[in-house]
Amino acid sequence: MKHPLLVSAALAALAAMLAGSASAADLSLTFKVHQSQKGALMVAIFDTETAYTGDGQAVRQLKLDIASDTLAVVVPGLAPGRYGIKLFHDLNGTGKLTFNMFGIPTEPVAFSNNARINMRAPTWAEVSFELPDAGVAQTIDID
Amino acid sequence: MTSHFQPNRRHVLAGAAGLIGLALTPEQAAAAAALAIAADWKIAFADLEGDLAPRPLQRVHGKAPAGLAGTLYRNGGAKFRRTKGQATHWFDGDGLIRAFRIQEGGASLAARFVDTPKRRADTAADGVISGGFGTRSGPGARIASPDDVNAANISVIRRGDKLWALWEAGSPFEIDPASLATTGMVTLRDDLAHMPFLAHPRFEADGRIWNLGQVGDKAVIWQLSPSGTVQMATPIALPRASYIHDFTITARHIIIVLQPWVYQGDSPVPMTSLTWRPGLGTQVLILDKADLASRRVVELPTFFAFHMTSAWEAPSGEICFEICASPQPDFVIRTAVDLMAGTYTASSDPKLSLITVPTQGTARIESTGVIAEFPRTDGRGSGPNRFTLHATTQAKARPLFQGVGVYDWRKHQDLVFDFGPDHLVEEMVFTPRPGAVEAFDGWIIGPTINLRAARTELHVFDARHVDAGPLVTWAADVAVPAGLHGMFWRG
Repeated sequence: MKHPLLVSAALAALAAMLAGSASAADLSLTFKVHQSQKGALMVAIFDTETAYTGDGQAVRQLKLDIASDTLAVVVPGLAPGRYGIKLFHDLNGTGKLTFNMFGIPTEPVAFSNNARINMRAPTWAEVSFELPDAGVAQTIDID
Repeated sequence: MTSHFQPNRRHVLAGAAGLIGLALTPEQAAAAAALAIAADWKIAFADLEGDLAPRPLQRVHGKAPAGLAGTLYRNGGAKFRRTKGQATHWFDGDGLIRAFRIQEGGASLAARFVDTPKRRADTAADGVISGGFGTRSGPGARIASPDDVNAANISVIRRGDKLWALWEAGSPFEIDPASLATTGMVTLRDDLAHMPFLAHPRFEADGRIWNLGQVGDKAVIWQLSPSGTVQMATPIALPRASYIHDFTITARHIIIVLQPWVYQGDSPVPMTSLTWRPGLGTQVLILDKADLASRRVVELPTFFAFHMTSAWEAPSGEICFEICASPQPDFVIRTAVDLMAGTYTASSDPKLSLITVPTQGTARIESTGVIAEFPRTDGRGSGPNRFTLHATTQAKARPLFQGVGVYDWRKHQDLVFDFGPDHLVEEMVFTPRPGAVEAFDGWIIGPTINLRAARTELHVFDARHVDAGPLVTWAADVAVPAGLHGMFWRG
């Protein structure tokens, strides 16, 4: 439990609690990185369809430096409700998803529920999941 | 079929069964029926269920020429159908790398599927969920880039100690030339991941590689070192969003034929986005290799083509190249779709034609009238091609060709060896005799599928006497589905 990310996630949770959340649940995330082990995962957690599909704000953003093929993190302090996650594997350290000259992402992209891009990004219905009071776990594959 | 070409034993048996007619015993009738099925052209478009371990080929007749040693590498789709679905276009089968090795007078065959994400996903789904050029993707597919539908199935080239299996709209796959095992997908440079890379790269005499990639009316001009390192990847705009399968080069120019089969709309199946607009005519885009911004577009009458030869430039600057031109893309639109449904629909014949682009004035295309596909030239030298090797003689009532032709541009004569209706002729390649200086002093090498015997055969011809028939023919114990393109690697 000494991973710097866990510390920052805990701090974020603390901030959320100080801001006065009535109740909070734990979101346990496991990321399995199947190919390149370099770089970081850039994770964005959304709580509305509008924010997920548009340019809305994520309720949490995480940067996970990749040290092994499996990364586990607990995101505490989220209000129970519906969430969706999208992330990309930042291979080149720019902090932004990179595209080739024809507009195809050159870095892997992944979603909650392991929803897949199939000619289009997965919809909110495909990526969203319920976070109950008791918490929930999601395992996401990246390659 | 000439007397030089010995009929095999099964030919004789089938003929005898026909003569016996009503006197057939039930066993003989069953055998005759089996032979009739074996002669069906559909075996050339059937599924191969797994890799082919290396196996010797049996000599049918003749003798391998002294000095000929090397490997014919060939690619082409060989798995089209799964329980829950199938490819609906011939161009969407899983790439299978064949290696026909000729050594010390004998020959062998091995073949291995390219291990692509598409093949893995389709195998796991037991369906064809990762579509392609003319096949729709299905539910559950993961298609984040064109490489997720990359079948690596059009051609194979060898550079140094590596093979590259090539598709068109995505990355090469690296293959070990000895084991034919897939090493992995090739990302030519991190920022160029998943870029299109056509299956007909062109080579400079020093081994440098030029290639083209295309998405609609955008293209990229690739220049790679002989070993495959990117030296340049420059985006260019195309005057129109034509279907492009091949292109060519001269010493100074890049030549792109823009036929009026153009991408319009954004169907999830690329082929159904293409619209044939014959009223537009065919264009030729000519780019200066040293300055890609310097371009010329010339107009030609409407035609469709897959393949062209190396081009050359006269001292005056006039550019010439050969092309296999059809009146329309009916083979790719209809025939290649119907093949997957097990039916044959005839399409227009491609004819060997010469395109001439003067420095000023009107460009022209002149047909030799010779039916030709899979054109290959000597590959040495940069002047006009003296000879053009090609598949020829459209078979009756079944797809593709049954003859091998060599067109002599000086005599305007096509020498042909016709294997007869039982053989489906694939792309043939030329390799020079060691130490040869004269054009086409060497051998023609390539497979046919003997439909009646249900087996793939490998043939070697004297390139200057193709009409005399094969110098040697070997037979495999299996029919490998019809392949597309590849190359011969000496040694």
